[in-house]
Amino acid sequence: MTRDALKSEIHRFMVTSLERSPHQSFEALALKLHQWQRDNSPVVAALSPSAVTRWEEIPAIPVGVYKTLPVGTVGEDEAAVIFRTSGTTGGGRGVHRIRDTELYDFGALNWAKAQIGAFPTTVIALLNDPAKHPDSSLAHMVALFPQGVGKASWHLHNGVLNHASLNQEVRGSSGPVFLCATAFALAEWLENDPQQLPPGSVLMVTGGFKGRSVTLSDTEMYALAQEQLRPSKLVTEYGMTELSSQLWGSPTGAYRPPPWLKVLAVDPVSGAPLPPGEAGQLRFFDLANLDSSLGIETMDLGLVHPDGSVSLRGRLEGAPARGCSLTVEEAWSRGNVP
Amino acid sequence: MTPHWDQVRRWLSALREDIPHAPHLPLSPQGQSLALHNALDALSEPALQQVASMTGHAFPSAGLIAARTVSTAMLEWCAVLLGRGTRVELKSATDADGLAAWFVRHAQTYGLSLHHTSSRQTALQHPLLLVMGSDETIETVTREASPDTRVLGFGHKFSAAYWDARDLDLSHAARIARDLAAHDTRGCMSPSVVFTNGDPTRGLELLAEALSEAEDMWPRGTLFPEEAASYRTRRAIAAILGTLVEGSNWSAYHIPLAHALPATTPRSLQLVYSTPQGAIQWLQARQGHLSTLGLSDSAEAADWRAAGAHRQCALGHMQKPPLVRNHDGVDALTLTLQ
Repeated sequence: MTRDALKSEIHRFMVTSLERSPHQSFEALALKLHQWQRDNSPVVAALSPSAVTRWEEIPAIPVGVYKTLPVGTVGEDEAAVIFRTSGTTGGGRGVHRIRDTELYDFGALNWAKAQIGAFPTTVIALLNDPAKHPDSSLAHMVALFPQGVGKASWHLHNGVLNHASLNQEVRGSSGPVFLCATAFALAEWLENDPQQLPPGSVLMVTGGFKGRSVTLSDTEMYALAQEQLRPSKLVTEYGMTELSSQLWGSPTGAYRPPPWLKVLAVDPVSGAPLPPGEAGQLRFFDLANLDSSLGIETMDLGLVHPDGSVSLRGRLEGAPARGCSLTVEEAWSRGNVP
Repeated sequence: MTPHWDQVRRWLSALREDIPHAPHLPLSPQGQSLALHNALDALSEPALQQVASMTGHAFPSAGLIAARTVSTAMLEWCAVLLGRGTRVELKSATDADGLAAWFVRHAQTYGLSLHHTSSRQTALQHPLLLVMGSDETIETVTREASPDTRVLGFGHKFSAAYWDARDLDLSHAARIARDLAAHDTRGCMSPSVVFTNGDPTRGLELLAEALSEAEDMWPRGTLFPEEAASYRTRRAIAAILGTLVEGSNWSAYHIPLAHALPATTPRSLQLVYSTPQGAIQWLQARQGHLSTLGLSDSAEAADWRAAGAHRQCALGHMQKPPLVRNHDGVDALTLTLQ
């Protein structure tokens, strides 16, 4: 099967599953994709010693591998869209290479609409401008939200939030806005007399505090956001550089993955799958990850509900981090990445 | 202060006799026995006499904040301080509370003023404070301590070994395996990287046999979730880049120098082919955190001084530092006297 043929099948699955009538099962397509990746990616091949018959058996590549090795089917000398991790959680920057963003863009926009409903096309982002930081997948995603009819403004410059321009943009908006922020940037804005959002606005929050110290808990931040910004809707987003799809939720609800992404919680020590409702280390299987690896193993803890939605429980317990020897992640963060 | 060396000797003898009943988690009982024997062997009569003959006045009291990863590291300092007549308040990591309580119970039987606290604040109240753990812990404690407190910190370190081609035999492999097994590779003196200028394939064959035997003698204990996840990441990288051998609860892998990390995962060893010059350069680049360098019999110690390790020793002795030594370049024994 060629890449283009597989891409068409995945796209068709996305379309038909959004219509609640998928043309084939997730598992059938996942197994096809895995086999293709195994045939075309040395990394996937090396980590897939035997054939699999169920999607849960597909090897999930640890995200740490993305920091060290080129994962996927796009050679380093080939034209590619390159997304990089921020590096704030310790370690060098993970690299995700894909040939194009067609599946990414279709999935991101359509799943967001399916979860949020109609949202304003005037986007105000507490993020770096993707024109200047093209390796940010989060900024790339948010740049889709004007949907070709609205506009987006960017108010983070090299990690520094521009409060003046942000408040001015909000103040100057004549209609509802879609404000997109990381938790860290939002917390900073909330602590500095933010401008209230226009009626009908939607607030999107993503990410945790990524290794930085903050004074607000998640619950406090959401409460403060509701009180100070008065959004008509507050949504939460979970994504990562190594994935091509996103999950959407709310401060009090679980995250819902798109039909082309499945989540599995495993025992962190044995790697054995856990039943729904039991917290474990999260693995994601994303059909939109055509050019890299279908299966990703994160360092996040969470549980998968019977309906496939996900509740997060923070990061894996890192006991050795409080001892005298260096953990692998600490060694990466001290510049030992080749 | 009145010295209590005789009581200390009796205390240490009692501990040695009671090793079978020592709390052991997260190590296995056999692993804890290895760790305790290593620690007690260093507290030999000649060593104690050498410390007892040092001139200076003992502090009236001291706080000792122990690391989570090498629970027996507190033993040598307790012996030294108690022998000098110092009252010691021991704050152990939560996981090692059982072991600390065991030390204290036996000590108090012999009238030694060793006390256990779960409160860091209590430990901070003393004029001398010894802190073992991460660099961040030491910085925090130093900030919290009174300006009049003498704080000695033992922070993040890693260790490495060199296995000369002339010494590629099972005896050396067994010594490396012993160093790896102690503390389940969590200590700062555990060999995180073993360099060899010999045939790495042969090295892995020998290590496989030795690590398997070590697992039989001193089974690996409990893994923390993040350790297991980090291990899977490193295992994946090894499977892609190099050669991996593994058994029940142990592994060894040959990877390129560029991908070696100065970090450990339990019972997992990085074997790197390198010339001595290449290894020394790699170590020099990480000199600030290099603790111990283990050398195989044919290696000339003088040739390796340039690597910058604070201690060089024979393989098999990496986890058996002598009582009388500089602790990572610091004459801590003298600094613990007024």
